[in-house]
Amino acid sequence: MKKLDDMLKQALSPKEEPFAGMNINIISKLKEDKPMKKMNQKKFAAIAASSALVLGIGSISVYAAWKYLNPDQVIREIDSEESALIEAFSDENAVYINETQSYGDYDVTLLGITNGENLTKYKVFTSDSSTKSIHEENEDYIPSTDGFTELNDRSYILFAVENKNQAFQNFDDFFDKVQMFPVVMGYDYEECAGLFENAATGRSLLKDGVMYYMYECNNLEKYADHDIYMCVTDDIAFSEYTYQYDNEAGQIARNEEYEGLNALFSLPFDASKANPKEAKAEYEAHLAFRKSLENKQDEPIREELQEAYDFVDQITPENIDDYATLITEEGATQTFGPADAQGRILIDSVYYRDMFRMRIAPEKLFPDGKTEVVQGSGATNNNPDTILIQHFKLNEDGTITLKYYKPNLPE
Amino acid sequence: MTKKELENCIWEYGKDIYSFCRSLTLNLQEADDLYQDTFLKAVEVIREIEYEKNPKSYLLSIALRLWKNKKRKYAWRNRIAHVLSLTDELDLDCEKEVGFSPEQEFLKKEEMDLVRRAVEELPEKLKIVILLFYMEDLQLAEIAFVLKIPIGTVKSRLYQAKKILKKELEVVLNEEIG
Repeated sequence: MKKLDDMLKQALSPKEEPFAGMNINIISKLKEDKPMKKMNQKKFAAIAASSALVLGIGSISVYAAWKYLNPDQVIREIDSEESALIEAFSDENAVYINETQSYGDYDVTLLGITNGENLTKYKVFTSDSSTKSIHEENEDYIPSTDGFTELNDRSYILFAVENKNQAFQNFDDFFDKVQMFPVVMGYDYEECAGLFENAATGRSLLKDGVMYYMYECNNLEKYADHDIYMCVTDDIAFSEYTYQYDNEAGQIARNEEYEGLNALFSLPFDASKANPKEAKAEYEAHLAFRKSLENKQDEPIREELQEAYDFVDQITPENIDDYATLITEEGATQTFGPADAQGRILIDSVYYRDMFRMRIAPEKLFPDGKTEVVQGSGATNNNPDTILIQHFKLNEDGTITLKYYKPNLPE
Repeated sequence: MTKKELENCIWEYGKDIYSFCRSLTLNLQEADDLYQDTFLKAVEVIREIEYEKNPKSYLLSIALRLWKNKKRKYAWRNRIAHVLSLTDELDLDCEKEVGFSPEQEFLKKEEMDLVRRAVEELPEKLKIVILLFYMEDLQLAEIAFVLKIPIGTVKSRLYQAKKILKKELEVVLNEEIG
């Protein structure tokens, strides 16, 4: 016969955890000496769903006591006059998360999220080719926004990022090292990147070596019937080195092999606020825009420019000195390396005529055992005189030297 | 108790307090409210709580007191709105045990549900004693402290509760183990 005591013990042992956001809320209020207000249930459901998704991925701690400033404090410090944004980031309106992921040299904490229309004094405008962020009150010069569309329905995703090896010096230092971008499952990654990144902006606060960064992009809530993630990486862009993404299956995962920062946060949006119709319209408008760009590219190139490209195509490392002239301006010759833990070299050209960054494995840049390669850059404004030739050389010590040449185009 | 100590209590005893709130209220929303109200109250009376002297019992007693105050309101609400029962709403699957077949696991889950339902249906006074004893692992003296009743009364209620449960769970208890 079974023992009643054992059965009761087993059946009644505490199994129900309070949603951690509730504990965070209590503790936050406990520290603030303010009357405590209760959080609502929907937020908890969203948070719980997200934490269930991300737990177990790697070095993640969810819902420890606030180590950093909480979202409300951060926004107040960024700009105490941003009353709408402060209100939107109050614990009643925002989702407080406080989840830390530690990879490479970095601790990245997703502090909280809020969404809404016209929440900041900064206005963001977008056009076919660029995005402008304008603070009307402080700017002496307000650039023209003719041909631009204002974006005022936005998501605000707040992070605290700490470099454990070397504290961030300033925003440029941070921006140089850390990239972040959202991805929506079920959508093509590259299109997502175009859709959200092109109209993304951010605000920052550097305090005690911690960079608080509020990433801002078009409101993601309308996609909330899909899983939405935020990638935070020290790699230059999304690549198979950092994340494994399956467009068809609608899945993303960290590449466990990557030794740097490749954090992956599940963003807890309230699925009941999804607006598939609006999301579809936004996505399709973006695709149409991309298509129009492709069509533009398909337009026939002027004969003069085509001749210049044909000329440049014939230049090789062996004959470059005969058909091009080495540019001796400052910054036109640069050496990069050594390779990182993945065997890739960061090529970060600061030459003012052709600034670009890429991280590449030498064997990809120098195929078939080559040690030198050349490639021409595209012309600016269809002007053949702006074409440059990049000459890459793999040095014996494993570093890569980049030299710029100007093609000696025929008259 | 200091704020830091209360914070420690939230992490250390949150699960216990919350499970107790769920069992008392049988409702997710009300359990959330009760759980938060318990700590809200604890913040108010933080100076009265002694961290060294079983703060969990103190927090449970706050939860219980608040629940008693709210119960009438909830009872009224429950009459007009369907509230899922504890066993319906909670997904309290029993821990998977090595060597159990899917069928045995199913039966075990059913059994645990039966036990919880039987506890749920006990008169409130008896149910609370059972929860404090078996769920919260409190000693008789601690239960007496939480309920502000003599130890003898605790013993008596525990005895009565178990007597009812034995009867209710007779079929399950008589089953052969395995």
